[in-house]
Amino acid sequence: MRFAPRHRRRSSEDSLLPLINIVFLLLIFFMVAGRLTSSDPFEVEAPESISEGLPQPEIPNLLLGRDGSLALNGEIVSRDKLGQHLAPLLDGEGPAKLRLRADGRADTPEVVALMEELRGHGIERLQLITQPQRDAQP
Amino acid sequence: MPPGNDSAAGRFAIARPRSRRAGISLTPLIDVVFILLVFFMLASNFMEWRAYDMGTPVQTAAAGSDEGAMLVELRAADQGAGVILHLAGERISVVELEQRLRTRLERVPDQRVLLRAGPGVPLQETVRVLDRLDSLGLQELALLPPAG
Repeated sequence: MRFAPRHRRRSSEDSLLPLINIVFLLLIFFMVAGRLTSSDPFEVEAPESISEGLPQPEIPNLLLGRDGSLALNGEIVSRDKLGQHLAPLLDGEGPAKLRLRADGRADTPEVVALMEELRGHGIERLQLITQPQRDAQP
Repeated sequence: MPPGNDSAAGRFAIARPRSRRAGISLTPLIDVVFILLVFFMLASNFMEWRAYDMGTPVQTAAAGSDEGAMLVELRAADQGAGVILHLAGERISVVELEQRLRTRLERVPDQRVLLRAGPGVPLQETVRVLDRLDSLGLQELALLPPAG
């Protein structure tokens, strides 16, 4: 007689347990496998490449959008103020490095012109960020 | 507190409130876990980045003379996608260019190759050519700004 209500309550919770298990597993998966990053101020589709080099994480990150807009470390900067914003980031020891993530649809001469400009601002090593190919090409 | 802890009836009497306390509804927990799940799904990033290490163009162009360097020009195709490659002024296909470079590299292992992209060539196409040339084992590969 006493077991009846307890059993009924348990069965309603029991039906939720598999759901909770799955949700917990998903939660742990996303917490462990994903990296929390700030979203880009504008869309940048990095060019696909078979390059195997890994980008260095602790160096300044410059985004170049398709329309030529620039963002340094997630903040939009104008082209003529780029050097001004770049200067305080480059006072570390060793060669001045920068990660450049340019949109794959951007005009190459413009990207190269930006690289030259960066050189003028004192950047010595540049990493052009690419992404692995989504579908393998023959 | 119900009296009579030591009697069998007392044990049953205690068991009921304890089981009621343990029976806190799981729904708020699930709510919170769901919210956390949605947050991590939206905020986490699974992008894997790769990188091309390069000196800036002026630096690499100034590092050595252009003597003996092969200049590959990329021009935008008149219609449709893709690029047209020019080596020493003549049109050449990517496969042909690879063959020539391969034979050239056998004789001159430190052959410099300069890549100059004209206007209208998307960066994606340049990187694609860069990929193919890089996989040949070139030691010196540089991007040049367009002439003029």
